[in-house]
Amino acid sequence: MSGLDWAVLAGTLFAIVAYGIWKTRGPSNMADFVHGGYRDRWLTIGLAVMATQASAITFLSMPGQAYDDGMRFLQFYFGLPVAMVILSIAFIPRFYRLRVLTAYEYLESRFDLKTRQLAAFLFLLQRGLSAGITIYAPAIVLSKVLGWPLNATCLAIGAVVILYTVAGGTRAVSQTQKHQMVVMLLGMLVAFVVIVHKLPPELTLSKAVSIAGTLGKMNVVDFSPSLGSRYTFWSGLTGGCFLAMAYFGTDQSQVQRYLSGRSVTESRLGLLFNGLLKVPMQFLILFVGVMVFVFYQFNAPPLFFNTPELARVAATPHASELRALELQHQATFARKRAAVSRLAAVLDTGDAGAVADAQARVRAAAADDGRVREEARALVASALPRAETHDADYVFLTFVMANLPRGLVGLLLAVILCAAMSSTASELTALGGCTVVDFYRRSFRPAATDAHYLRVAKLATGAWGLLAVGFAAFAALVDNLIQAVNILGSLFYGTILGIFLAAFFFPRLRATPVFVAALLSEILVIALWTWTSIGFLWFNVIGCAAVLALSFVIGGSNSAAKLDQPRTQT
Amino acid sequence: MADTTDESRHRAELEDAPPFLTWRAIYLLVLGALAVEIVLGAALTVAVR
Repeated sequence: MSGLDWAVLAGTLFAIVAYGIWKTRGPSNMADFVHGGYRDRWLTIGLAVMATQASAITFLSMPGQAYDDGMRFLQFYFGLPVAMVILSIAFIPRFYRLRVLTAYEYLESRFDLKTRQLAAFLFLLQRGLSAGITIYAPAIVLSKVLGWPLNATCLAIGAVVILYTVAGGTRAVSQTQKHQMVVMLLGMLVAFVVIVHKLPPELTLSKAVSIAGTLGKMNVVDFSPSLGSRYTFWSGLTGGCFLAMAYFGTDQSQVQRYLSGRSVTESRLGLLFNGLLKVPMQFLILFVGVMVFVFYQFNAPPLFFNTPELARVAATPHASELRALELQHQATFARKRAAVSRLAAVLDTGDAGAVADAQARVRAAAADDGRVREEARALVASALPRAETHDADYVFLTFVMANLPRGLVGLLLAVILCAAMSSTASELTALGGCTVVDFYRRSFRPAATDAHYLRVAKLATGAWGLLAVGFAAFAALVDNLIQAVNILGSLFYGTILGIFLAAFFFPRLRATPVFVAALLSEILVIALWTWTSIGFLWFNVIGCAAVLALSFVIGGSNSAAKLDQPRTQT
Repeated sequence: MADTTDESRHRAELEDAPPFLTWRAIYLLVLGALAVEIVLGAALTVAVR
């Protein structure tokens, strides 16, 4: 990396973090620490909500996912705008009415303490584990590409985030996230323009899209009703809606973002802004991956994108097999490039027969090339039994490091680190706030001063940060990081959402049946995940439906509950 | 607990109108944009298959 890249990377990160700390200098009470003093406007909330969800995995994995699997991952986000509307109507006014510090506080006013603490515990469990992966994902890729030691990279990302979250709490996080999100969007737009500029001059954007479509990468919408298929229109709209409702409505890392608004209106507009921009933003990121794919139809890609692992294979007795595969790869790539160039040429002619023939040749050449890449994966697995054989996470960064001009490499690395820091910061403040509000203050020290709780919240935030760095050491056991985060969320979110929907919409349901139903539903979801092949998005629907159904079965519906009565003891 | 003035201000906040359009129009805008994106996505999928 050049000196200019280092300057852009360090300057961007330092300026954003320093501005965030300076702007928010020291929260003075718990409400300030958890909700930033209720001062944020809708644009800040909207950008902070987006930045919290957009982790580094989004920018590392998603272009690689599009490279391998096309655009179909976009369907995962189709339920999100629907969820934003539901949350604006049903969730936000209820949280505001009780002026809760955490979402789980609401559950005690509606049900009882054990239900509140069960939901809070499930949140701490899944979010605490996810925080480790959120730090590990960019660290593993950056350490390999830049040659930094892995543990030091994890520690560096964790240390910076812990510093400004402990110092400034939620307001520092929101202020930094606003600028981080701008850098992320700008970085991806610049990357898109540069990639399109680097395509062969005779290749128009519409031809690039046609080539991607021929090779199955423009599969944006799939209406097939298969339950086993991971991303379809139906699973995206229903499972994705439940996942988004659970994530944005019951995950404290998001709830505290929009409850930092100065009014219900600001919070609602912030969430709806996210609902409006999310699908186009994800389209852009996936489309960048598709354009990287088209770029590598004309420029030779590495045989295996995790090149440090390839270098390790070259140092084993399998080196000769690797050389043979690389020669095969050069030959299959040359044939594929010729076929793709011919397709690009005949697309202008309007001759349907010639286009169909050229498309068939491209698909055959791509299949040959794919087989060689599969053999390379198998070789890496047999030469290095503990090596990572999934190389999609390395596609985008490999492209960036090799092809972007000086300065822009630093900007794109800043995008990835901004994303890592913004999502981790939200997670840590939420974990710290929830630990203190829902457990420490409620069950262990109910009568201490606000200053005491603020000190403990800062300590808890720092402790969760150190734990997350510790968890990151075990994340190496996980094969596919973006999938791991989403599966982990889906295992718990359905149950938590079911508890909240029971609280909001079924006033006759009582605490103990809901509590027992939630425990049974969680066991059911984990059993289904262990012993069936149901796509993980459906667990959000199943967990939620099971809580509601079992609550009615166990408890009947013969006891009325008073809704939304503010409590002083929380 | 908050005093009466705080509570009436709080109630007013809960019933607040958006600074532009109406809530119903904003919800329709968000869901309409999603519908357009899905239709365009489906059209793109079919067009360049």
